[in-house]
Amino acid sequence: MEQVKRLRQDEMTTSDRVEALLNGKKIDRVPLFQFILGFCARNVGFPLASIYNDPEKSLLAQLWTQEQYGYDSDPFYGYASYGGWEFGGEVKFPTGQYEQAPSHGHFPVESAEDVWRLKLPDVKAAGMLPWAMQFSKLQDKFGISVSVVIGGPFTIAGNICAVEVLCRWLIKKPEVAHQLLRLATDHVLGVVKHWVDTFGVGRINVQIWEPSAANQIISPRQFETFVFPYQKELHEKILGMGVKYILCHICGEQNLNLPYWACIPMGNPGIVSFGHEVDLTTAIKHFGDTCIIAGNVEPAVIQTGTHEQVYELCKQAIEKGKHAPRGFALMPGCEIPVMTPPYNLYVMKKAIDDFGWYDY
Amino acid sequence: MTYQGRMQALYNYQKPERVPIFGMDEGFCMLNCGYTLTELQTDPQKFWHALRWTCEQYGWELLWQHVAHTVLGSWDFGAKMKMPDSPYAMAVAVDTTAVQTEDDVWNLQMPDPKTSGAIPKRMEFSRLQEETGWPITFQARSPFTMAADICGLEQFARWLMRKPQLCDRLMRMALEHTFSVLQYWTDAFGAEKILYRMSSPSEANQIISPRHIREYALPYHKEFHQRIRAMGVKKFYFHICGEQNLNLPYLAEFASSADGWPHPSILSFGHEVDLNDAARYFPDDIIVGNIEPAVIQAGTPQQVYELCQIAIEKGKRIAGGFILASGCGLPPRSPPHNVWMMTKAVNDLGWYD
Repeated sequence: MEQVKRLRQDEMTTSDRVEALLNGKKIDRVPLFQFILGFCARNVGFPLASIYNDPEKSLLAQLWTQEQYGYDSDPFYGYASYGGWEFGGEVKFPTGQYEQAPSHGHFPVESAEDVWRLKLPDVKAAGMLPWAMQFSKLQDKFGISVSVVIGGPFTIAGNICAVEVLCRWLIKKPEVAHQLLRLATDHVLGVVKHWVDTFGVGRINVQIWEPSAANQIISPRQFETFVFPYQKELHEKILGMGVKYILCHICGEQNLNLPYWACIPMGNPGIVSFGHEVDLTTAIKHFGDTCIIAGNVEPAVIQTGTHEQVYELCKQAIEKGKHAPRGFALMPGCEIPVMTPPYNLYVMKKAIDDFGWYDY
Repeated sequence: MTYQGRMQALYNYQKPERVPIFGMDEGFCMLNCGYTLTELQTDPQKFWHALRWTCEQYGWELLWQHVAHTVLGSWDFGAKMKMPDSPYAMAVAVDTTAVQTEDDVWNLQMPDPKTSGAIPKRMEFSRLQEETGWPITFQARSPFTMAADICGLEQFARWLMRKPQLCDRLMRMALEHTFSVLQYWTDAFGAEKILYRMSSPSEANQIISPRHIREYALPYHKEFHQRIRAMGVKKFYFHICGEQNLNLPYLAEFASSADGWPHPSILSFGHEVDLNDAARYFPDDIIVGNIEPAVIQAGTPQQVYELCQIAIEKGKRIAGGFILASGCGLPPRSPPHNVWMMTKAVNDLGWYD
């Protein structure tokens, strides 16, 4: 009779595994990092919006889902359209069956004049930041790492005005774009400093997402001019505050930007995660000596593919990444889609169980 | 222990290493794997895959599951069915019953036991079970419930009071149809491989009195067991669905008689029946149950866990053996984390020392 398979028992706890990974020590198996928000709400029966507008429910949904699926990354709070609301615009929380995350209501900046009038928001009161702080205080209370999760300057600038407007200014009014990027950079630094001041530098981990710098949107030449200087300054200053490492999600198609990204400090080791568009072998070539590599199973396949396809992509990722010099974590290439079939999520752990054990 | 080891231990009145879990999760497992509820009815292969994968994911026993059972009687006898393709539908439903008038009852024909309704799909499913070496499940409603499905429950309840001869004819036809189809299964797979699962939701006291059960339903249970015994089918599972507390004395008396079901059989109960009562009435059988499905769907994880804790504490003391399960079909859109609470509770509390 065909048997029902059972997963092998872990030999390390999640926190021991992650700590060993960050300290370059041996671990029992490839860690599984999830980039997962709205799915958790659905998984536990909460409204999707509660992940973003109810810190307590958000943390509980994420903790419970983490326990259920056995992944190694802790809950965090953040959303990709960060910036618009915080600088004075509006955000719309997801309520419809096809919505997955907060989206823009109206942008605070619609014209070049608006940019010159724009002020830095109060990092204690703007937009979602009070909820983010409440979430972090709950993280602290629950004894898990305190995260501050925010977009890179270019992505935040592309959320303060519409990204297509920002792209037009890159070409026609570069000084306006630079002004927005300046404000965005200073804002992120202000937010990180607020977290450092509140919790202490040793307690926080910083995650920076940078989707809008993808080559599906801008060229590598534009990256060099408009992204690289601000991102480099941001990382240098964050690390200068005493933060040990940055988890940087280099989202989407960024192959042509990788040489620039490789010159941006991430900590020692940093953690860099990639969209499925970047081959993990390429990622290791650029970052393997200094960073832990995380990635990069295609989210669309996780949502709409078969579990065999998900398993195969995980297997390929594990085989490519498992022996990265500074370590590797299996991760989706971006956020797990809200309507992902739960079994497809489970399959990621199953693939680690089949291929991810280290035999020293 | 393996699934077989746990089940064998239960059948031998021994304790397995932990409380087994049974999901009763046909629709849930389809959605869990990205399939639709309609495909549960139309694609046995997808259901078979989804069932195995979900059992693997949740650490459940691959037990007594079948496809397309809820309104089998209606479908086989010619009812027009409605597939569960709206966001609020949970299972296939009857759109128009095959029988609506008294004349329809007398004119009703026996269905073809190989081609009517969902039977071909059920056979496909059983062949998949056979290919992988798993027991062959055969599922049907009790004659009383199937008869009520054929004409609609309200009509059946009315006729029970005013024209019982119509109910009797429908129950007779339901019983004969069940055995015609069962014969098809035993011819295909052999009686010894068949696990027979009966459910009897329409016999609940929310619908009829215990007097009606004794008068109308029990005689058919008696005949049913005489006949499956004669066919050589030895494994029996009975889902005594809903509020049946007042029926339990009659069922227990029947179960302990020479005409009763074999022991141990597997008996599952709705949340309305206390597990201690179930064990007291049926001491020679394996008791399955009985977390309230509505709580699994609409309650908090903590509520589900607490119900599991209560059930496990009672269940571990049941001499005949115990399996933790939902009190009825798991709502397909239950939050997965609530469902997983059953697994977690067994991991935390369900180990036998």
